[in-house]
Amino acid sequence: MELAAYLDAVTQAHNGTLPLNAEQLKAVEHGFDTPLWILAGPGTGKTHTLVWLVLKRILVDNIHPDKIVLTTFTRKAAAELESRLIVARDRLLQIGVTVLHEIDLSRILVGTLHGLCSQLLQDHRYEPTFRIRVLEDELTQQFFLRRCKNRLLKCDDIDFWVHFGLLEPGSRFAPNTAARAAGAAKLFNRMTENSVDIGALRATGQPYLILLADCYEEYKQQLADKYRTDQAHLQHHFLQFLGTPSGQAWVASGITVIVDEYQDTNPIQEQIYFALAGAHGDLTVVGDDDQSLYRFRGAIVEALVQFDRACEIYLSKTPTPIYLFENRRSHPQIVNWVNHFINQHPEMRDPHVRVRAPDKPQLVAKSSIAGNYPAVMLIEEKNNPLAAAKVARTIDELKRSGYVEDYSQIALLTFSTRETPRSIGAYTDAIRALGIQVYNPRRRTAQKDQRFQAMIGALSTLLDPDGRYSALRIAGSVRTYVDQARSAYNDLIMSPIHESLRQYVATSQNAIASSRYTTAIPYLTRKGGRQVTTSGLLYKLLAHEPFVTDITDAEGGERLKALNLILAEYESLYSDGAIRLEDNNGSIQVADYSLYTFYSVFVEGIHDGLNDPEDAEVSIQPGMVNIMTIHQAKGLEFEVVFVLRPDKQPFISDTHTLEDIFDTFSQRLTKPAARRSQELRAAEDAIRLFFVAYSRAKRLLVVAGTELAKWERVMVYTANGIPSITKAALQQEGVHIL
Amino acid sequence: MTISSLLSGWTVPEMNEETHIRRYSTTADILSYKRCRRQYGFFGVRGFSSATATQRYFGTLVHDVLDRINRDYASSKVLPDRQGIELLIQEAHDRLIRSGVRPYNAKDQQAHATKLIDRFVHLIGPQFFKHVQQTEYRLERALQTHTHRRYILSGIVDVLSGSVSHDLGLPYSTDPGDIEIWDYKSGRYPDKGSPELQSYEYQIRVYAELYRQQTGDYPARSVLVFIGELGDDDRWNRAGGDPSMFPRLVYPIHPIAKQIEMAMQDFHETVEEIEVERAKPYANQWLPPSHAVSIETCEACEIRYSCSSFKDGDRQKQEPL
Repeated sequence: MELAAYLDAVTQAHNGTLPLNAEQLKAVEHGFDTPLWILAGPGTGKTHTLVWLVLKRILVDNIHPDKIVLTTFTRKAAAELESRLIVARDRLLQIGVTVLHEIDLSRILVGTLHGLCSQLLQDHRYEPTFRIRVLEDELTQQFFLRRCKNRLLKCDDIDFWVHFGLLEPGSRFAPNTAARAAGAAKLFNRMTENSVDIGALRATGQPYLILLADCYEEYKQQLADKYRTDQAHLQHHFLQFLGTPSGQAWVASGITVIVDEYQDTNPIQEQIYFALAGAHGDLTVVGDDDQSLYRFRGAIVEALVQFDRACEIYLSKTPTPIYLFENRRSHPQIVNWVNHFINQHPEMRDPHVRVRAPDKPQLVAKSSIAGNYPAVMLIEEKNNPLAAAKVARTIDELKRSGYVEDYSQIALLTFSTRETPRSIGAYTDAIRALGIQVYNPRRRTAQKDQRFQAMIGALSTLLDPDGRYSALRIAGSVRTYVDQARSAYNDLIMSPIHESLRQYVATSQNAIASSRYTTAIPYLTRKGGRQVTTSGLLYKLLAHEPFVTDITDAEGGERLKALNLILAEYESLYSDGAIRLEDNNGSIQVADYSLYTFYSVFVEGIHDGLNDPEDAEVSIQPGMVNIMTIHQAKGLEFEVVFVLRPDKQPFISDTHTLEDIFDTFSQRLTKPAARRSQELRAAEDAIRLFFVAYSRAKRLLVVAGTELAKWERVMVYTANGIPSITKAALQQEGVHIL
Repeated sequence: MTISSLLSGWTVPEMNEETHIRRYSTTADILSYKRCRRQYGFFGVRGFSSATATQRYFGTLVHDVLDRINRDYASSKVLPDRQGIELLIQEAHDRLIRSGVRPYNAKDQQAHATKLIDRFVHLIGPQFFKHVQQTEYRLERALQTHTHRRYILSGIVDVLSGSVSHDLGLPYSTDPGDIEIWDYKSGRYPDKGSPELQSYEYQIRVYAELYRQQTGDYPARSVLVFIGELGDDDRWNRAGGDPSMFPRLVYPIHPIAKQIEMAMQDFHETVEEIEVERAKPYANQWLPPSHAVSIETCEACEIRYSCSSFKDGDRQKQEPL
């Protein structure tokens, strides 16, 4: 198909109007001669452009769908992209582009890069990764490190942990084992993602760097020995695979690589994309550096900001930049606010370092949303309960007066969704007090949830009836946590409606005590000889009230599932969950080893942190006001957005320290020549975070909190570089004070 | 001042309706749902982790080893002897264990898998493997149900070419130019007319349709192989290497448009049911099915204790441990 015919077809499929503006059209028309560098501001039709670009690659450029690799940041975004491709294909079919009957878009390799690496390595039976288990998240990685007794977990040198930013300077105690495992996982992941030169680390002669290099090598060997990989190493394996004859053969015929959300790419992903594009060089990246949020997971915004430099280095080509700047999402005043915020922020400018993509135009408001009303508002009160009451009343009125059809059209975005006095507790309390339902699945850390604790308590009571082990052999915060969990369980069984649960636990305790024990088979078994696992016990507990009802509730069900999944990961590392018995002078009991791993690995692993607050997958519940972190809101839009507590912002952390340390040893070809200070990088993080928050709003943006003077970093600046942190100054900027 | 007094010119937004096109696997989704919607909902959709996974272990073990034999044969033209098969079984077992599958009675299952694969290789191996053109061929198409709901269906088959039945001595005729799609089941041939057999027939007919959509032509036939048929020791001893003694080992299904249409319709309806289920409020989703569920399915399911479809649930729930 010729390009003109394709564009005619797209036009016909949209009632005679080409649904692409001039910049989007340029992107779609672009050939293979140079890489394409699409800088797409919020609400500028990025996914829409990608859809018509992919179809053009297939229909006009004759690329077979299974030669297209299309990646994005979350599974949800990938599913949406795939859905929109199919819908677009159907529109073209309806107006007679019959060639599409023979083309199946499901052959496109669309997904997250992790998902695609996993699938492709499996398809090619790449031996080093064939059917190996992926440590899906950092907690699982921490269990693994503990199971393997990685040497770093024994490091009690306070200065070591301080050196890497994983402990506050001046701390009197070294981190506990769980915190060391968390720190080790973070260190190792950053090292893999940055292709850190281990030889160079050792060559420094610095003891901490040498220790780190040794422990990392040990970890890699442990992964290989136990047939496991982590997310970062999975990508490393994929990069290695691309260098094998089989990988080379796959890439040789040319792969069209299209990457969405490129601003959150990490160094190893950058390498993969260029390796995939290879000599063919058909690489399109799409993103917005102003929306880069994942530095703390190793993302490097310069991958997008300096894409031109990377193309020169890898491909000896200059990419074609295309700027999508027509915002079709938001009210003009909101567009004006976000433009003002990002373009005049002094901390986003630097004469020596490219902080933002070059020559970016301002967003231009093109939405059909107009209305002569103040679309950016401020609620600032003396304290949070007062501000919260105003937020709640505003939400109530918006719904009652019919300005929104459903509460789910309103979102509350914040840095942390914890419902505590230090975070947004006052706001959710005030909203609930008006009878409005709130969906905030991460309102408490899951491990502090009463029912979650009661389940841990039930397991503890069943396995360790009189608490002989928990009382004597575990210490500190884990012991307190176990005590709380057992109390939560005891509180439950006080009620006669939970009698069946009490009975089940009691008869199971008796069954353990009367178990047959032999040294040949020292495991707890059920009638019939089948081994009992902790997961199996969890499922039996789930059959009793109150858990059997909890599991039918969205929040409760998801929490119990989280417990179930973590338990499965823990068990895969510890005797497949089998529970050892021992004979203690004629009385049979669960062996110390099993209780040790249960308490000191599993419970300790979860007791001070379970949920990942930045989980990228999020679902919107109808009929409820949805509360989410700003990270979770990325890629979403809402009619009304309340940004709560702007005084809560990202700060300098280990993320920035590790960036500096590993940058020196990174073998990445595109390493930037200069870096800004940690403080300025933390400032960038805060500014980008609030840019994302503000730009989610379609019709109304309300910023609410206390202590306006502390919002300096996340408010607009005047042309003279003065922050608007008084009500009067903000009114000058067109903000309405509620 | 109330907010209402400020919002002049506000246009009331409509609720967004998302188009969500989901991917469905014939085995992991459609057949699982048909077996038991509750089990599918909890483990397949919500993502609870199964503590047993025994069924998956045996099927995957057999499948992985056959795949490996296929690939090795393609490059070396050599088939493994019993010792070689034992080794492959052990390797596949190790991989499954490290991928998180926790089998019950693994030793017995390994021994059984070794026996079945060894017999399969020695009964029809040399004639069979030379016809394999592609192993693990991915079938994947975007489809539409009768209500115009779109979804993507995927499955995996082996593609064979040539006069397979002639070489294997099977009682149906083939031409040298034939292309066939084969799907292996690790169990025995189910009872005629059973829901299980019907599910398999539907599945392989749907594969035939996906294959047609993908390549332009139906396969000459689709073939289900029930490896479990080779587990009968008496029959094996009497057979003396004669494949015709195992008439239910290989089940060919010819592409008949009407039957394929029925199978497609059945899959579409199942997808509709799943989508309707997904759209229900959380508390009302994935309730126990109204149809009978096999006892094996229930006994392998950890949420059976609170399931009204499982008659023994109340008793098992109170059993200790």
